[in-house]
Amino acid sequence: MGYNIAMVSDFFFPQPGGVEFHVYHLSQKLIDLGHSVIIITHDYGSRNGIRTLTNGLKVYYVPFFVLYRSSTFPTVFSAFPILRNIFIRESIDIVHGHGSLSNLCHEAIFHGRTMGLKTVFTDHSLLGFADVGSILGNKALKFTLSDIGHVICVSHTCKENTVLRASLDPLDVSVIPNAVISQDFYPPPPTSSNKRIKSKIITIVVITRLFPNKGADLLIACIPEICKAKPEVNFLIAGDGPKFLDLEQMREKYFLQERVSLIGAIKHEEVRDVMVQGDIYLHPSLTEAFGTVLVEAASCGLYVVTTKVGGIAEVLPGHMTSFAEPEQSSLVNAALNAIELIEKGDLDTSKFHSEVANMYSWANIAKRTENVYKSMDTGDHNVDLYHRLKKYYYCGVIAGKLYVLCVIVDIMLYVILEFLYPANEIDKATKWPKKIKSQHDDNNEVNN
Amino acid sequence: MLRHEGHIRHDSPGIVHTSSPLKRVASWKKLLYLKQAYPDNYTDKSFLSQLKRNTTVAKYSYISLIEDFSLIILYVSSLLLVVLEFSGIYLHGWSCILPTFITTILSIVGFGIVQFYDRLILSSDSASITSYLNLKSFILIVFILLILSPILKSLTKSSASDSVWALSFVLCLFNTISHDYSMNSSSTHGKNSQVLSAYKPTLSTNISLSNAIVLASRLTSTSQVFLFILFAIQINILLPLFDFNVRRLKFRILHLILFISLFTVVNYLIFKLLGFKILIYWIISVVFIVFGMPSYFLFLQRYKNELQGPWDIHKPIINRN
Repeated sequence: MGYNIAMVSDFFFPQPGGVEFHVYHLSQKLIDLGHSVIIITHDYGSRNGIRTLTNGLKVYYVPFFVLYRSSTFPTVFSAFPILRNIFIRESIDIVHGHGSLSNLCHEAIFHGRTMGLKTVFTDHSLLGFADVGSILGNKALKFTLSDIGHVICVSHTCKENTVLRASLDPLDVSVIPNAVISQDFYPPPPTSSNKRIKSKIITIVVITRLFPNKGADLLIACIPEICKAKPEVNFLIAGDGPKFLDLEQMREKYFLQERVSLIGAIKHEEVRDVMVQGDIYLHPSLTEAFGTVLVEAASCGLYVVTTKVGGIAEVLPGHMTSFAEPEQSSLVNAALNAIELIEKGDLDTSKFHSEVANMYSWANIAKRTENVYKSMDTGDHNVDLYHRLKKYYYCGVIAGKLYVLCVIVDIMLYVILEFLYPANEIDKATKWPKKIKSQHDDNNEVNN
Repeated sequence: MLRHEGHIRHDSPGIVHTSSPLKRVASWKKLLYLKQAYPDNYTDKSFLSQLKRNTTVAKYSYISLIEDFSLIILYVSSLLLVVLEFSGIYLHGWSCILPTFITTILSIVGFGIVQFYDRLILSSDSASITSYLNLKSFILIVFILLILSPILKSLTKSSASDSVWALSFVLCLFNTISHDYSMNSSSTHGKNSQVLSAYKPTLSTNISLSNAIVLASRLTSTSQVFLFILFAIQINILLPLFDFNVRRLKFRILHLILFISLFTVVNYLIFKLLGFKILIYWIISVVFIVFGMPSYFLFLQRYKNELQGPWDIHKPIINRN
């Protein structure tokens, strides 16, 4: 018997990004495992209402006021009526929220707990403790996660961060990484790469949003130095952002128009086609929870040169990557060493693709996520109200009392909603017919 | 709060994801690409080993904090001096020629000294240019004030005096909150602890000027308005700027003389205009701010709990050439 799962996040298609792909691919693989999955997100312009994607993956685009970078307005209670309606309509057992900056996800988990549903939260990002934004975000996270069933983090560093931010028991936090669809990130046929090595030109690919925290300044400082040291090196930079202008200025200042091509923002489907034009992938980021793009680059057969920050050190083995400190000299040295490795032909990147495919697959991720769901079957997650309130109360001297107040108001709202719109009068949605999977598919997934 | 468990939990049925029995257990590695024989929620001994606490917290000494907090008194005194001077003129019909004359002479002499020492240190042409510009802008401001005085005099004619006092009070309150005190301790981060950070009193300068204009608009003659605003500018804007330069040039004695003489004048005026009782209240609050607040600040430092680890956004080290 499969679970009825509601994935809730402010971030979903048509917006590209790590969380969005995670939610989509995980849902698809969970459907393959025999579960019924729906996705709840806020509306994206005209994309409003209910849509059905491949395999009967139903997406609810709930009309909501978007505050900042597609996060909805942080109200504690306002989404309750519609979320309750959807949860009942789809007979949801498990509410699975994604992204610690997604307000809709926080609300869904909170209301899900009020309705007595099982809740899981996946954290995709790292946040500090120092600035005002982080402090507010951490308070909200602490509130939501006070009564959570289980938490999933995308890397061990992310787990340490989340445990500290939300004061969780580390045993309630699992580490399940992201994955890639390795079929979409395949290396170029060997003939073309031979041709390139003969022509002696080495291309370094960078695909990043050009933001300060993604290391755009570091990149801008490193490019002229690498170009000066190695005249045979070209750069191919994809991505847009506030630092794009600085990058262009650097290119003009050092007369590198011929050697540094800037192609601007690209779609996720085009990433592979850009990557295979290069030999080395350079990643200058200053913070990263997981770094899916590194895995994608390695899967395309690129040697990865990256700063060793956040969870990056955990992602790829040493023979595929070269780690540098987030310093100009260190990153330049790492890049120059990598270029020499490629020039000498010491590097065999032809096996990268199959190795990465073995390391990261969505089927494996879905299986591990399913284990998390199953682990919540045995424990009694619905404690009595007194103990539930106690969990919230001990979150802080003032915050704890506020949290308790929110919980009580939420329970009252639940009673009022039950009176106004009784659960038995809400239409149950018909589930998408399950496809019968062949034995062959099953074997594949177990092997993965 | 946190429970660390080094052993493997066999009792978590759903979380264990490897079906193979755990034979010889290889040690756990903090890597994602390995398929390890540990459950996903396994928490190793090394968990949070990279956590650092309070690495950037500065150590404060009580004496230096007292010096810093006395800067608040210095600025509040300068605000009070203007308000007291105003009430003297408004209520008791004091002449404002003498005080303004004294402060103008002192301002010119004081900034002459600062510029002289600056030129000694810098010994370049840039300093002379700035001093010439400063003198020019000073004369310009004086003349603009002179022209505007008749207009400023009638500015708040249609409002009641009470509203003006209330407005002035609010402005002074905002002024004390928004002023850049440029304390020594707040800039002690890193190696160059002796260099004062740049002085940026933009907001408080504007509020001081507004306060002076609002108060001056209640005065009766144009010359009074002009002299009072000039006085207020010199006390509220130029005096803190002068004091900043004095501290920058490390004339500790001069700073002390400045502080004591300003404080004495304010005390004397409070006593003369408001009486002995108010003077006692004022001195009690000064003692509280100068001696009480630093100890409270040090007391709060014990609760400092900064967490740093690999998840923080790194500061890139870029060679500037």
